[in-house]
Amino acid sequence: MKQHNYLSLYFVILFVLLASWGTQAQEGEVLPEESTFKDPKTRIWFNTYGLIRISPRLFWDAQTHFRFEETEATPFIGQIGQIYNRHAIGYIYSKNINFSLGGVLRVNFNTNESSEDQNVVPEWRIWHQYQFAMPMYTAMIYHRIRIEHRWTRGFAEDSDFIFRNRWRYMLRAKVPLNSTKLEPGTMYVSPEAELIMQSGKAVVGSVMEDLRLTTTLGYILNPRLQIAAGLMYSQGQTLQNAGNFNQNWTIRFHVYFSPDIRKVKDKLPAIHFTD
Amino acid sequence: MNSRSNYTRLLRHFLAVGLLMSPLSLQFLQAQEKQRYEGPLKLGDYLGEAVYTYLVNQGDTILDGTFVLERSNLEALLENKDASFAFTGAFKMGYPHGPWTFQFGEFQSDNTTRVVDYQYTLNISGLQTAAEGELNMGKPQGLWDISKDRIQGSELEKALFKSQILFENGVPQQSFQVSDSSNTLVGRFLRDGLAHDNWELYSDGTTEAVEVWSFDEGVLQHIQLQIDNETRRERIFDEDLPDTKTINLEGNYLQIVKLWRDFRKSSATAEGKVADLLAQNADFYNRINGILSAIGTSSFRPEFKVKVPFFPLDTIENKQLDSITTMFENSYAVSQSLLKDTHLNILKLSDEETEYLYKVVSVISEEFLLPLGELVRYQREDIVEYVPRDQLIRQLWPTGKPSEVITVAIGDEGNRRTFKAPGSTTNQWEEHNLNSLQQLAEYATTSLDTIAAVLQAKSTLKRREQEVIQLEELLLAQVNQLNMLVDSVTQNIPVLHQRALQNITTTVGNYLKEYSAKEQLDQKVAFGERLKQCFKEMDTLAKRVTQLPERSSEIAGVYQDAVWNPFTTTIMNERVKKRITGTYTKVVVPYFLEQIATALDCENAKTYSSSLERLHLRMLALREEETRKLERKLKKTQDPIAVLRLLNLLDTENED
Repeated sequence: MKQHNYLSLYFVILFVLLASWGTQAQEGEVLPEESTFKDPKTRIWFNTYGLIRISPRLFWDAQTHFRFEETEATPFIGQIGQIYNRHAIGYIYSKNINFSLGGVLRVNFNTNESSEDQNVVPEWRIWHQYQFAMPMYTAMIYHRIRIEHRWTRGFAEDSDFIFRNRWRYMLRAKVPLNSTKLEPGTMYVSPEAELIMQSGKAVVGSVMEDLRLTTTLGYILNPRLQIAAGLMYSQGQTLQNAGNFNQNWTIRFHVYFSPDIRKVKDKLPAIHFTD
Repeated sequence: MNSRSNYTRLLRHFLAVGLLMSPLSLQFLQAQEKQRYEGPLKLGDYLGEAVYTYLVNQGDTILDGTFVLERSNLEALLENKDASFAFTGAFKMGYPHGPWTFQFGEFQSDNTTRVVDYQYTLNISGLQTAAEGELNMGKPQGLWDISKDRIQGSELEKALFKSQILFENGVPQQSFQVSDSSNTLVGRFLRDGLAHDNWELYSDGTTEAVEVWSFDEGVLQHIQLQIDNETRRERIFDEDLPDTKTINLEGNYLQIVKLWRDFRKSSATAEGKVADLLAQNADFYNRINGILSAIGTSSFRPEFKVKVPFFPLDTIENKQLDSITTMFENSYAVSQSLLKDTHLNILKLSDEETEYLYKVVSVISEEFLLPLGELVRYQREDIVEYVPRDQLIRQLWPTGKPSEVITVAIGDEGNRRTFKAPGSTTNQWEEHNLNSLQQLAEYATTSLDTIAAVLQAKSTLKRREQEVIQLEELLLAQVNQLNMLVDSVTQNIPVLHQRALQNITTTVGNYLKEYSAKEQLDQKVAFGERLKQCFKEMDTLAKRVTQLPERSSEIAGVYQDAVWNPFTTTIMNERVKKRITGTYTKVVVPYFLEQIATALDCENAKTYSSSLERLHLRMLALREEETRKLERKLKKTQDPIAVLRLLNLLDTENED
């Protein structure tokens, strides 16, 4: 029921945004005759995800990502792009539904090799997320709605923070390959698609910030540790001109860890939330 | 203050003395006064509510005064039927004295009630027996009237029995009358109670006596019977009797008369009506005597006196009779035990020797012991002295005494074989006296003892053989069951387990070979009994081994922890305490299987199976226990014995 409500809300917002986009007059940049697609950039991401159980209902979501991207000379890992610190407190509503609320500090490095501006600027976010999981045959399907309130600034000295909202929906599956269910020793494949929309005064036309298509191969070492690696293709409108599209190929490495710092007696039974 | 405390002390003193005195004073009073008892009382077979008075004299209770014991149960009467009784009379210094009535009823009710004169009345039907008369210090005095009537709807329907006898201090006087539903016996006595003159029996609808017993001062002269409108007169005793003795006219007298009549080959119906009526009468008197004797001193018997021929036994004859009695009892017991022995009864079908001896025992039992048993019975009933010895003995063997050479037919062809007890001389029992009967009894005893020795040995052997057969059947069944179990699982069980199971069947097979190599019956039985237990344990062990794979996976299932994984949002089972489960699967189980496959015998089979059972329980228990220390220790050793010690599974473990 709740899942349904949130989905409805999401679609209402989406509809309003699209409607306003259609009626607004375009200013500044002139849209090209047809969309232009930049050459794909190559990137490599090293992501750690921690979900640390702190009570029967609550967990601490701690993520640190290191994102590299190409330089003229080196593809994928030529230079550091961003360092991500994403934290939240999560609430386990039920075995298949959980919510999170927290903040992000992203450190953005100036990757324009010819730029004279600042090398590093911070980016702040408040984010909340609603995740719904559903078992399907031997696989699991996940719906993730993530809403971010984002303050960014350019690398120029006198650059001001601009405020935008991000509207993200991700559909993901985890399909066990060598087992009938996701359990220790299981290799799984995880196809995912995420659409990231954005809105805000600074967003003129470029509402589709990013569309990410990824396939990951993962392995469950034990219930508290998984590793995964995958390849992602993404594209999205540039903020400057809605007619221009960025494209990226990204190799991603993930480590998922979920320690339980509760005392042993509190853990039992591990799966019962409401007893 | 002071005077008051003195007064209290005095009062206490008096109280204490008074309390001590009170039981003495009560006893003193009891010796003086009659006590009254009201409550339940059991006299012989009769339990009812009693009211009576008594005296206590030097600790003895002496009945004195009125006495009532009665019982009737309305509920029982309404439900089915009630057996009621009422005894009313009086005692004098412990003797029944004064008027007495005895009533016995067996009644049913038709369950319809009426109210008559402010009382509910209920009709009853059944039998009522009543006796009424006077007693003088325990002896009947005056007219005693005994009757048994059939009651229908609370009214007398038919008199079934009636007896009227006049007594003088316990001795019957003048004439008496005893009748049942169709016959009446009338007779008379002399003053000393001796039967005298004609005792005549009249039947319904006849004016002439149908049976007459003629006495002359107690001696029965003859019996006259009406048979088919013809009068027959029989003399009973010989005319010239050497000696006579006065006895009571009771059961043995009637038996004596019957024997005498038999000697004369009397053609008349042996059982005359007179004897029957007299026997019935004696029964009623006995019944009342039983009740009175149970509570006081009395001699309530008809005391009809008669004289019978007397052939006294001398000392030697008495001894001979005693000896015959003893030998008969022993021989009878021996013959019965042989004839009823189930093993012999089976054996005689296949073994001619047994059949032969068994038949000899039958002959001895019938031709020797049966008549001897009759003699013993006559002796017990006090008859032997009142009939001529030689006639009595002749009558016991109407076709002559048996020969000492016993011939029997055996087998399908009926081959004849003879038996003669060892060491016996030729026929010593031709004469009709107790001496020759003693010889005969001795011969029977010797013969039976000789045969019993042989037959009992055969019976024992047969029993042993049957035991062995049963045991062997059981052992084979056990082995078959074990083999079937092993065969049914070997396909889907790991090799290590297969080896252990194979060795169980091999070991059992070897034991069976060892058993068949034994030749002596006793050894077979003893060893077979051991094997029975051993094979049972082997079977248990085999079951435990076949259970092992299943139990291992049960343990693997138990040693898992369900963990909720937030990334997959699924519950994942995680193996826990891997050191323990690893030791179980890699060290302990293989160790036991190896032991069973290489070092199995009857002595340790039970140990292995119980160890496997305990191992399983221990593994289940360890899942819940705190085991960090144990796991650390297990990390250091893989030696099976050390591991078993750590797991507390060694019987002789002595862990510090």
